[in-house]
Amino acid sequence: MPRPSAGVLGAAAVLLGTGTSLAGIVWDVQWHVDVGPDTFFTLSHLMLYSGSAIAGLAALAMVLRATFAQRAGRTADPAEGGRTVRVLKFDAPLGYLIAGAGAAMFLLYGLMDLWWHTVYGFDADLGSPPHVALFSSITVTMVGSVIVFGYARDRRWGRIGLVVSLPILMTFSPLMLNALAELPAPFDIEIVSAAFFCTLSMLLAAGITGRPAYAIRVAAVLGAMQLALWFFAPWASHSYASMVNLPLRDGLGDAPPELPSATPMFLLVAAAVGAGVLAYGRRAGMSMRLLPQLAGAVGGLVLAFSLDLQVPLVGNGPLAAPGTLVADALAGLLFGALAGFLAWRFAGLLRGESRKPIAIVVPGPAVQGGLA
Amino acid sequence: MAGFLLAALVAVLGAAVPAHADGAMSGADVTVAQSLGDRELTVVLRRVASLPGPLHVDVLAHAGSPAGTLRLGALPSAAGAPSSASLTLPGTPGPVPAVLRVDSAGPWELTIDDGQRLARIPFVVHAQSMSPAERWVYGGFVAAGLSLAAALVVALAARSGWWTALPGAGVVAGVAVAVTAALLSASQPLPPAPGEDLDATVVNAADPYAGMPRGAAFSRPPVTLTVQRQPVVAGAPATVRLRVTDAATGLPADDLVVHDGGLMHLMVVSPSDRLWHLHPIRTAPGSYEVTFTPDAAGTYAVTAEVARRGGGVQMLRAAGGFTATGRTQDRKAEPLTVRSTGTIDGVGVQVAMADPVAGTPVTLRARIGDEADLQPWLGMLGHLIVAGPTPEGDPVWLHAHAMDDATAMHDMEGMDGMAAMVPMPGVLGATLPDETVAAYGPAVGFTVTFPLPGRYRIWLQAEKDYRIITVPITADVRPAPEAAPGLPQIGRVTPERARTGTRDVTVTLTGRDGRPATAPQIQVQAVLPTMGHASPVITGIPRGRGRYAVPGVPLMAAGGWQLRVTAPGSEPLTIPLTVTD
Repeated sequence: MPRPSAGVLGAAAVLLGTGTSLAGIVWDVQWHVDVGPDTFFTLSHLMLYSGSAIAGLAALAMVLRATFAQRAGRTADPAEGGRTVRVLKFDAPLGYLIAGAGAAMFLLYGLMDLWWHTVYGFDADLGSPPHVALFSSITVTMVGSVIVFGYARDRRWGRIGLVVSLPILMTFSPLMLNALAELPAPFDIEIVSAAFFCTLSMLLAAGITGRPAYAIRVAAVLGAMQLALWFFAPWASHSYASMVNLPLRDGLGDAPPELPSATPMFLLVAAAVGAGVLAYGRRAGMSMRLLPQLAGAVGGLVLAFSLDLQVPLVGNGPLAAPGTLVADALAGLLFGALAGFLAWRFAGLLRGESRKPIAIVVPGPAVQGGLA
Repeated sequence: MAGFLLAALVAVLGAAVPAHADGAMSGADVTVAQSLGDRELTVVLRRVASLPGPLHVDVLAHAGSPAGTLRLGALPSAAGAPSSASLTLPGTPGPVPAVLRVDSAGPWELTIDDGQRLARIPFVVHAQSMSPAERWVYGGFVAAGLSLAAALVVALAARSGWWTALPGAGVVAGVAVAVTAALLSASQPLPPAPGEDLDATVVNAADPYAGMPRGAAFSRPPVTLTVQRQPVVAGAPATVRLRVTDAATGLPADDLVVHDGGLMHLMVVSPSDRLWHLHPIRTAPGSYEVTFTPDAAGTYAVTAEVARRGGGVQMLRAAGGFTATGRTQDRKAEPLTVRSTGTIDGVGVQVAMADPVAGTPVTLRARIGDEADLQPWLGMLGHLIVAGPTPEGDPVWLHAHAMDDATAMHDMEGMDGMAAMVPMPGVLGATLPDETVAAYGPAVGFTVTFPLPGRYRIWLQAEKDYRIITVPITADVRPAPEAAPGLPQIGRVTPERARTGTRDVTVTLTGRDGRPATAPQIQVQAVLPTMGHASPVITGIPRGRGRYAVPGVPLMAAGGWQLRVTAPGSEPLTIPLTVTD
């Protein structure tokens, strides 16, 4: 068995960090729901903070590796953190630079969070400014991880990493998007923003790899992750509560686990529809300037509508009023189209072909147009 | 950085004590029973979550409390702005909410005014505080974040990559400090609680770690209870005023803390053998008063249970009690005997207890009503007040709390076919819900030891339909058979550490002469002194070489337990047993 390259190790370490952060936050949110405010630094907080520390250290190591190589006169492998950007004296791998900056930001915002809790108490809202800053910082690290794998799309590990790092980002996204919930909008902003973000993420996978099927793979991994976290969250919070001898809250019903129940359950449907539109549109010879928006619109519509259905299905509340359902679906359609547009632009950036629309590979007669 | 890490380790490991789970530090809910005029109220002060912020107060009136309006106030003792609110009691039992406002940490008083009298309940508003361990955690992570940012800049700017090692090491050290402190933060000892262990001040309520005394003793001298002499007439409402003074200085003792859901539990026994279990209101520092209607002329016995700040519940007896004039009560309420049934306030009650012998633990089991609808009162399923031997002026007073249903059910003689029990956590140590949850019983059990022979008066109290059912019982306690006190023995228990639950243990007894004990059986009782709880007696079976198997020892809560072992022909032994969760 060949020795794994430093590129794999660095990318895997950042992914481990973001995965740790995700598990930590899922556990922590459930802990606050099931047990109550923290009276000490909990293990879930430690996991959350350690995740950023792991990702940050790994990113730092990879940036150092790149700059050491340049000092020695070598050029870095573009698959190791990808395209480099000139910062100060050296070219730094973009993905690791972003991941590292996000991790450093997260650890620093911990201080702001501490101050906020001292002033406003331990029951502060999930959407408090330092929380939004912390969640955004984690998101930045997760985006860095996606960029790292996106640049390594030619390697098998790069594509595997992509279909894992994107679902991590998607599972985490409701926390960050929660900050938008207070904005006035004629539709359910949390549902539509989740539809937008998930459409963007799965089409990004299709765009980066040039294969629509990757949207489906991302959705499948997300589903598996949701299932695992569904059981992990209550188990972790209950067993930790019994370990440190704290009682569960009175009157805990059979509410579904907080964060996993916010993950779209019907993403596979949306992904299949979106990927289908991409594949068949391409085969039918449609322009790639329009196709991503179309796929995004259809995916966004399915997602917004299915997320509305998911609320009563998991027992999080009643079905929204018909007017809201229509508004959500329409907004999902529009924001889905925007997500499709952006996904293709972002994918183009990662592929270094921002000027030219990305072609896609579909099985069948149209294969020759592909970019395998 | 390495020095920091070491310092953190030493500081935190130096005093590793199990975490307290009651969370008094962050301010738990406080429940205080108040006998305000002719109303019996349970006042719940909810945890203050933020400062300035709302103080949610629930006032729960018991059955029979008249409708009316109460004026509530939050009054700072040191710093802050007062606030007030009023609430209307509907005349039916149940909780009524009110919201007050508190704006600074420190000692406060909740005032309840019914138009005629003012109850002043002291409470402490705690600020959010952070333990030193948590400061190390956040400090470590922030240092790691700063170092990480610096390391990224240095990596991209420095001529030599080795310069990165400096901030890079900072990241590693910061993370190491933070992780270490985080893992230790749960096991760090809590500082003395302001209001519980120490007098609350604005400073220690804001940060209990500030100037935390180490190894200080918190215990205070006992207090003296006196009843103010004033005319009391049977048949008319009477106000009894009580003073609590420090037994050393004679100053008013204004540091009573809430224990068992009350500032002061007052037991008044009338010449007609009726018991009142009241919760006098605090009207001024060290001054308490309570209103009740005496039923007969004669001398009333008065005892009070209080806990002084710094720890330790004490039972106070007001010498001489007080005397009521007026009509005499000819008919005494007919108490139940130790094996009988009766009807109290329309509720069927069954009582069963083996014939008691002085000095021997005995379990009294009762069944109140037919359904599992008893409500926890003062944090317990039931209270047992014992006074006796009566002709000798009641030298002995006891106050036992109910064991859990399972223990109460345990071989309840002559009372088979009980209704199915709702599963509940052991009463001890577990968090019982508040009294709005009517889901317990109908069986309750108490294990007590009558120290002296003679006639005892017993009152069993439990709550049903927001009404306190008081069951009077008399018991004649036989003298213990004369037995030559034997030599003490040496006792060991295995395991010496047990987990909570019903456990089988082995007791090994050795005589002073080194020979294993040969008694055909031993009697064992599990006692949790901090809770004042004693289990029913369990018989240990000999297993040879002085070993006795003791099956099914109910160890319901974590803590320092004792096994009280009695073997024929030797003095009773107390063997400590540590119980962990």
